[in-house]
Amino acid sequence: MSSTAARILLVEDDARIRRELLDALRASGFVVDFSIDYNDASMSLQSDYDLILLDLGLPDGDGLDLCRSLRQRGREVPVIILTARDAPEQRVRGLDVGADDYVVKPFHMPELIARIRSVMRRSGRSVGPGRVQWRDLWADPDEHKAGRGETTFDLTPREFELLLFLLRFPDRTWTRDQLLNRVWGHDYEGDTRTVDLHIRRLRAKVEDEPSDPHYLNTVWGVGYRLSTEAGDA
Amino acid sequence: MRVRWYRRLSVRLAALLVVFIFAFELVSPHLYDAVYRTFGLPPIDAEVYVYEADDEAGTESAFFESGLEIFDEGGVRIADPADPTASDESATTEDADLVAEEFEAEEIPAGAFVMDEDQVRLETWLRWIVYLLVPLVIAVVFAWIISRAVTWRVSRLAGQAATTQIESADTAGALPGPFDARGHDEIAQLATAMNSMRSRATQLLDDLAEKDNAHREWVAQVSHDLRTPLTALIACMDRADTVLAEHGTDELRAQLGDVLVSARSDIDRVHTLAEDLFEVARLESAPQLHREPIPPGELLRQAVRGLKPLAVARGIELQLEIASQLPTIEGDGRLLLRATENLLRNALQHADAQIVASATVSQSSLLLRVLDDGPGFPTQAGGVQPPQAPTATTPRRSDSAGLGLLVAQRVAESHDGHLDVRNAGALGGAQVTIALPI
Repeated sequence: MSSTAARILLVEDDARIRRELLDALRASGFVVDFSIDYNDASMSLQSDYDLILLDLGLPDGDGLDLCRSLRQRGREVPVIILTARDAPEQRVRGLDVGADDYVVKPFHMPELIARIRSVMRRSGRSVGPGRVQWRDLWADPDEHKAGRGETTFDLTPREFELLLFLLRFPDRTWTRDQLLNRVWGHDYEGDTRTVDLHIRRLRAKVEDEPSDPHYLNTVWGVGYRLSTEAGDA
Repeated sequence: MRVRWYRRLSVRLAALLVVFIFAFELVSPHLYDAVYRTFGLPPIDAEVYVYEADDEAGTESAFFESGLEIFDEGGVRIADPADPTASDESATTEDADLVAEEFEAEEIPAGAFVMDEDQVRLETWLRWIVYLLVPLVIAVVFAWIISRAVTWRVSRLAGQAATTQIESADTAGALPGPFDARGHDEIAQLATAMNSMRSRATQLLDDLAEKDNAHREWVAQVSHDLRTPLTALIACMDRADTVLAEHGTDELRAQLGDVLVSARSDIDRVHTLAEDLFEVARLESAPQLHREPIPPGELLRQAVRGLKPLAVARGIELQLEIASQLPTIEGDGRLLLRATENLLRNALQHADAQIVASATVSQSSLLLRVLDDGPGFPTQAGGVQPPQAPTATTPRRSDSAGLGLLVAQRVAESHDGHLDVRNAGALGGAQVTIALPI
């Protein structure tokens, strides 16, 4: 990562945080540009970046709108939202408009940098067909099989699809609606409880102790993610 | 509410008297006029003579039966009507004469009405009925109606004033009324005055609620605004750490290491306080729950996992006991996680060496419980005080404002549950329980 320095655009209106972030990110080997408000960011986004760190509460607009317009223009650049708004609906909205991750203020710098690296790893990786592996979990779409280490799970087709999808985006939080759309399809007439139900069934097969999940973790108020650590900031 | 009995009684008695007199004067004569003919009785103002025929005849027949002759005042012999020797004609004539003579003796004027005793008795009854009973019944009925007309509106007003619709969400609904102010009398004026008082009270309560809400929002905003400087502060600390690690001498590290560690722990505490303040303000102004299915074991494990580092740092053993077959509950996972973490944080502040966190089911409640072996809560008469918004007099555990437990309480209440705070349990310290309905 550090050999071909990744370019990050930091959109943050608070000067102190901006300075600290710039220093820390540059110290970690990233090339960082910054914008101080919505208009400035819109201008900067004419050029290409590898990742955008986006503060939501900008003086002249909402960061969510910026993210939405990026996605509407088909830009796939990863976005991490920095927000002091930690109400679940805010996080869900952030993810639903196409952000890859969010970090709630106040955060620790090492955590932010870890998140940046994780998001960039994901975005740089092919998520095409083929066997995926994450830690000891694996799924093979060709053979329609999934398992952990040597064991193979006995999964229903939908459970397999869900696990495969999560395996393709480890460490990424998905809202229930997103999972419903991506795994079940946009035309599926179900409710988000379907997702809860399938996660529960999947846990019973994947986890050693389904009530203490180590793979399929709940992000309370938001949704689920496949990760080593439960919860979030 | 009832109108005082003597007030009602005095109104009734007065009405009774007035209506009785009116009925006696106006209704009874007409009524008597209407009915007397039916019974063959004299009109009310007619002169009445009573013919006591039975007694006289009885006396006379007693005389005749005794064989004596009897004479009238004029010296004429009265023939025995039962005597067959007396001619029919003379007897009849004499009978008629006798009657005429008797009445002549009492000087019966022309057109006078003569009644026998049955008619007299009937007339007496009729007079009692028409002149006493009927006016009395009318008076009672009218008095009742009048007194109700007067006191009914007063008692209705009183009833309305006593009724409070506690169910109602808005301020106006929580006050009694509105009062019926129809009409133009004193009672209507009273009702109007009460209505205007009510609208003023509503206004004041609304203002107060608005101020209170504005205050809470302000608290939420301030605690929210604290996040930005906290972020900057944490970033500074991170940088100081990095610089110290990379460029510091051993001596500098030894000197500054502890300072940085304690500064970080202080920042964490400020952060936690700001978050709790924010949550309380939000839960008290506009609690919005984002319900999702929550396996209690997962929630408690997650809370314990998050605070494990703190427990390790303080040398406190943190045990977890999770009952098997716990039901999944519906609730706001983020808030319940925060509440559970607050229980653990509270215990971590006061425990000596051991904390037990448990999730069990009792009756129809899910119990998330944290026990510690610390000194427990300060007790007052009546036991441990439940958490409340901090005031100067709120008992609390040493240095804590009790905000964490207050959040836990508000979260439990927003889920129709409650927080139980007491000094009990196997470890001899505090026992704090979040009880949630299943």
